[in-house]
Amino acid sequence: MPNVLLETKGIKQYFPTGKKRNEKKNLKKISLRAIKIFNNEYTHTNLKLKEKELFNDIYKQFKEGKRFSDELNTVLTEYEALSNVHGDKLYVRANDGIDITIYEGETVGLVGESGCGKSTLGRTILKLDEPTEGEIFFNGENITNYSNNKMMPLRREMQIIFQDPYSSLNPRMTVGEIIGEALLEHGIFKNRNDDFENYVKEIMKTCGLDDYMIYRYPHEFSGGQRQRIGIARALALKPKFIVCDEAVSALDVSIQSQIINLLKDLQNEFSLAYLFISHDLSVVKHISDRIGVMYLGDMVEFTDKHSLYENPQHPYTKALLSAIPETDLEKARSKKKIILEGDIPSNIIVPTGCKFHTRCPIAKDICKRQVPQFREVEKGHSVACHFSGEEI
Amino acid sequence: MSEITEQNKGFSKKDEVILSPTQQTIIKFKNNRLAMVGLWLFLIIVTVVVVTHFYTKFTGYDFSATDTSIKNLPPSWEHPFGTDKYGRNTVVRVLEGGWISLQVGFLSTIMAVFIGVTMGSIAGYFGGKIDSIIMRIVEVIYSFPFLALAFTISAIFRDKPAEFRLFIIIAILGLIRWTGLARIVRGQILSLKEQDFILATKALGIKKRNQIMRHLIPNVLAMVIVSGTLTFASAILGEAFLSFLNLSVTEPIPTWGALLSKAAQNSTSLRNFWWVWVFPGTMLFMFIMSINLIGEGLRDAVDPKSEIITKEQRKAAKERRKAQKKANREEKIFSKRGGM
Repeated sequence: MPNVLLETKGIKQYFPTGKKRNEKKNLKKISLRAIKIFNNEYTHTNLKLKEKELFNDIYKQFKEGKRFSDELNTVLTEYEALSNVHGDKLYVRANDGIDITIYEGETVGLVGESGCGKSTLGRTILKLDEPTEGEIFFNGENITNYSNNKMMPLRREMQIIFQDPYSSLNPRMTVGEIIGEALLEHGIFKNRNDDFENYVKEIMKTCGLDDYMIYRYPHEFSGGQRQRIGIARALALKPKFIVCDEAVSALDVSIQSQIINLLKDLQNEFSLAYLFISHDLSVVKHISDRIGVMYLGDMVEFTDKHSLYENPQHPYTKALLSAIPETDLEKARSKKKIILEGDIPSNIIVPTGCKFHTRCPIAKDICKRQVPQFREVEKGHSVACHFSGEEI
Repeated sequence: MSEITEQNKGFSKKDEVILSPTQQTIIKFKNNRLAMVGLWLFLIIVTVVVVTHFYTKFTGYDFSATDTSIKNLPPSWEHPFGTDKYGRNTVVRVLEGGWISLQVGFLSTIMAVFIGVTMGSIAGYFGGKIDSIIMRIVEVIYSFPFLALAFTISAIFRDKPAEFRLFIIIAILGLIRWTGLARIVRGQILSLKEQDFILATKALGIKKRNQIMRHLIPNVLAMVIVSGTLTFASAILGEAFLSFLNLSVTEPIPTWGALLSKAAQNSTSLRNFWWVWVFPGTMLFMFIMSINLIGEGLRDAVDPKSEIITKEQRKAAKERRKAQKKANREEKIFSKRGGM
């Protein structure tokens, strides 16, 4: 069993929106409903009371422990639940408690639809954003509360490759400067001597760039070459762990395969670990050892690639996999497509219970109330669903 | 270096000419015709002014010496720029006048650019409270009436020596003119800060100081250069303006603004003795124009994305146009003959 390189425990990343939750309209609607029911079922003791006062009276009695009819009770419970959250500060819940373990030299894929917090997770793991809650362990050290200075030596071990090769390179620096800057900053080379230049050229060669391009500017390169520069920059420090934040999605297919094969070769050469973030399922299948599926800030399924593609447990994963286009006509005909209804809910006011219940084809009552636990259903196969593995 | 053109910069290993960023900047600047004209004009004016200053200093030329017998003479071989109403030689006064302008321009621009870039980049980079404090300071300074301030300070230091008053003027200009630059730099840095390459520097573990110095400031440099040259020009104009109002250094030390103001004091001299105001006016105009041309050229040269047109390419284009014209003409003649 290889060593654990990186581990997170319940990472939460909330971004404040600066707004407060306003449920006045809904509360009023519910209170009117409650009064209607009350008028039907009970007789007024005091007819002169206004609606608002009447409701306050009922609600006060309810809070003190008096029980009305079932229907009225449910409405009042609803009112209570809403009035509790009314006025709460609102956050964009990018990550909502994520546990992930990455071993040395393996590739972990991360898939999910846009805006589900994949990139945020990648950046939080590297401590580019401070996590709101939770702990990050790197090589057994708890790095959650490390200051910038204390992170400096660790920055050599963990790197990131960005999605957009156009905005991720400084347009005013030559390729040599871009790749070599961190080497000088970390004191691996004292100054720009011949050794330094040879080292940078060597890195460029491993990434498939010719060494005579060292004095060129980023705008003189194509998209694929720029992405290689980005990879070379990440590799120059000889890290152990690289977050590939949609590293290939901006490129066309032929260059995608080049870059992915390059990443694989480099993995064999330097025994790197990748966190490979993508929304392209076929790319993730090709490169990853284990794959995590995310939905609305939650990890819903995490397992190795074979069991994910052959035996998906979570209904969201099933829907996702059924959306992969099939080239074989026979298979395409027999394939059952699961079409999810509705849009992805807001990640500011998230659904109660299981976040997926609003779109889930097999959702039951319990899904609305109870948050499903992220538990291991088989060895190395974790799912967060009350009815994991059920047929849709 | 000029024979290295875009064509033979090439895309194969053999042809690749390795140029450092500085060399590329120089080549681009050299191939910009207007900028080179500006540079030569600037250098000539500066040289002449500096030489005149030190020549007059070492020979002990007396600027206050008057000779009423030769007053208001038009330009001649003896007095190339004519003489003024006290019979002083205008040519020395015009050339010496630039010395003050140069000092004011350089020193106050350096001051304004330094303060503006520092404050702007700090405000843009750190944001939040620091940003709002600096921007409030900028707004306060922005709303100072320049002229009233200059009047007051000049009045306070009325009886101080001329050199001291000069430095006061420089300080006023420098301390007031940095606000526009600070705003530009702040805005640029705010937008740059959100780009991925700044996040990448954080991931690489680059120190904050280097993030600002190596990544943010070079990207706003083009803006700073243009704005800086404008500040330079406006500082010189501002000094001339203050001299015109007799708020800068006083007689007998000449400045371009003071010379113009002398001429404008009565309409007779404006109408009849044109040489009194034409020469300092021309000098001022040419100097400021040259600075603006240089600024424009520098902005293009610093930008690595800008295209260059070399001398050879220009020549080739000219040749092509000529050939085209010739061909057209011949065709015309031919068709005429054919018609007959």
